Amino acid sequence: MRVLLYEIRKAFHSPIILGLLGVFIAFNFFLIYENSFIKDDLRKVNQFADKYGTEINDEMLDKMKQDYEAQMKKVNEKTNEVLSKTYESMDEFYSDQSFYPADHFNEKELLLFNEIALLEYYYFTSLHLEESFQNIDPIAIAELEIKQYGISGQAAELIRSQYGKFTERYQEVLENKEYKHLFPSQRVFETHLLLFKKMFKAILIESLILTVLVTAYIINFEFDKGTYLIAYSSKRGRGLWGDKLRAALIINVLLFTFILVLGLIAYFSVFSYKEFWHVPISSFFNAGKEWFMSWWNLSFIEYLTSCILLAYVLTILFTMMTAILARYVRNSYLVFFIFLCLFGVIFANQGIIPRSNIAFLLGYFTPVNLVLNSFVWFMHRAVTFTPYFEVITVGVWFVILLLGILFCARSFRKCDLK
Amino acid sequence: MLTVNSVSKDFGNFPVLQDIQLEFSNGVYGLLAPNGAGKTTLIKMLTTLLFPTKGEILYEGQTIFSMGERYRDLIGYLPQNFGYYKNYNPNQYLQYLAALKGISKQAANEKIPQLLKLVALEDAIKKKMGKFSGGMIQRVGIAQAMLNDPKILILDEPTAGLDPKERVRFRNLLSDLARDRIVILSTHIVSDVESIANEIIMIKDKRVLYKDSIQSICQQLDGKVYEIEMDFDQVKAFRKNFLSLSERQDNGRMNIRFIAEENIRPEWKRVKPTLEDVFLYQYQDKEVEQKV
Ligand SMILES: Nc1ncnc2c1ncn2[C@@H]1O[C@H](COP(=O)(O)OP(=O)(O)OP(=O)(O)O)[C@@H](O)[C@H]1O
Ligand SMILES: [Mg+2]
Repeated sequence: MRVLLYEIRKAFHSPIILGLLGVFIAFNFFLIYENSFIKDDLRKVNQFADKYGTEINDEMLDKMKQDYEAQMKKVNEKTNEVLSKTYESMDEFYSDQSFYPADHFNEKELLLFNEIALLEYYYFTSLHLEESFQNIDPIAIAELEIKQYGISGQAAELIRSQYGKFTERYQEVLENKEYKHLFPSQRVFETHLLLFKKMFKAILIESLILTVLVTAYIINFEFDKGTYLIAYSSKRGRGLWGDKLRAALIINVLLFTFILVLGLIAYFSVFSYKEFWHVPISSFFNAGKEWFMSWWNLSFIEYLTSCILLAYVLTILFTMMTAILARYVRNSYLVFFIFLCLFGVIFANQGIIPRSNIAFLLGYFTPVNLVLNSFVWFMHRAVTFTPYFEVITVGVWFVILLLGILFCARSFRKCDLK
Repeated sequence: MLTVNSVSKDFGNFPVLQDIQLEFSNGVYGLLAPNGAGKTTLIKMLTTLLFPTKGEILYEGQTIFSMGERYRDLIGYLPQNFGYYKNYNPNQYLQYLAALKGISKQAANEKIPQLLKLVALEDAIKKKMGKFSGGMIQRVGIAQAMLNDPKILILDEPTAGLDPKERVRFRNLLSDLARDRIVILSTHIVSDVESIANEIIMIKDKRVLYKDSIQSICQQLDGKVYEIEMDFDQVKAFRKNFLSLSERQDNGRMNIRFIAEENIRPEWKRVKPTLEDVFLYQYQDKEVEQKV
């Protein structure tokens, strides 16, 4: 225990690691700040949800309709007074090119118009949600994806063999009405991309950089400082390698937690999700270009939790990968460099596999791919054809890396320390 | 009892030590050999850092590698070159090593000030080691080796960088310590071990040349070491015929100590051979080469 604490302390004395940590946290705050212009509209969407409930049904549509029509009336009174015109909808109002709204209305009125336009968008979208969702053909989407990625032959057949599961899940979503919920609209706010692509990818890559640096630094510390002769001939001996691995794991998990928690606290305090924590992530409002439903019936908070868990597992995997490298490469910066190359190779490797080969699809089953595509985790996608894509990927890699670690620990016990 | 049993060590295809046979019981052993002879290599095997290519090392009849931490708990080791954490003071550094050595915090708190006093560093206890002189670092290294009160104390060139006062102090310390433990120290400085070693081990051509008391080792040169005075200009010619051990100036003339095995002349003054004489005699080729 004491040894472990000493090892952990070493990382927190490294100026590079602390410096990077500061830069990363600042960067995440910047990402939020940069996108903060949507926060007021998001708050209004929360108010809608509060008022009408998040479940889309006839009753709530009625309520929405009444409000919308009443509001529209108010708008038309104003426009009639100022412009001597009336409008069917806010859409029509904003499409009217004959005047600038800002020239004729005060700020309060403009804000009101904006709010009504948002309500209008939500009302009409909700009204046609069932239709829109029913128009989706998951198989057509999958076929399109196959075409876009240029997949053919056996690989394409493998995906097609999973179509049964695709439609099954689609039917389920259709029947249990998971898709019929209010949620920050992807088309308007792109919050899913902001949170799970920009933020999560940034956090994952930041954590990855720290993970590699910390692990290499801790494991090679005695070699860098020349203390290895004393350290590894002490009673603790070569077992210290295991302590170092454990220390690196603990530090990496701590650093990741730190970055993540600060990032998420900032995110959710700027962007309100008050009403949406328990809304299914497969809400059709959340559908984007590359995803439209999750493989499982997950609420937003469940989805977020799953993503966080997966991110922790990735941190552990990358720690293990670095530890294996650091076993053979004694210079921390070289380890970092080799890791980056490896990361690139794993990513690029897929490109050289013919797209008719099943191996091409297996090329997606890597932690590298997971890091780069956090926004479609657990989402229905043709190229990652199984619902267990994430679980299989991290499971297989964990087993392989664990074997690697056991081998390294053993070989380290038996190697000459010159 | 520590036994080195027909141990050989290769680095790649390059043999460094061959068929080393040694036994150690309580007392001080001086490992005396020139640079590159394999002292450090032997010591690293004794401290489990290197594995013998052939043969085995036994402690009380058990191989040290199978004993694992039980063996490592018995040793104290001062490496020839060792690093330290520049931003630690000696107390922090020793506390850290105490943790690695499985010494309880309480015991360490008691032991560390004693050891620092022993190596005359009690005044520098709060000073960062990055600001230490070479000799001070070496003394921290000595303290560190004794932290776990080792049964086997292994010191690789412990006096390197120590000033004469510290050297003497260190020698006295060692002879005190050696009463109930094995002390092995390597050096190529003869005077380091001359006065304190119970036995000297010399390594030559990858093998053990001697493992004996100083007296018996010196006996082989009995009647072969002489001293003579001559003028400067004669020295060069003299060196061609004899192995000159040491030369010093005395009142404008040269006093030469040398070895002669035959044709002894009466004007030469016969002297008692020392360990240094044996060292220079045994490793003469290298010494001569170095001079040229
Ligand atoms: N890591 C290594 N790889 C290859 N050869 C090595 C290695 N370490 C030492 N050697 C070689 O082994 C031989 C013995 O080296 P060693 O360090 O044991 O000598 P030494 O007696 O301790 O010398 P010194 O008095 O200079 O400390 C030398 O010829 C050296 O070149
Ligand atoms: Mg040496």
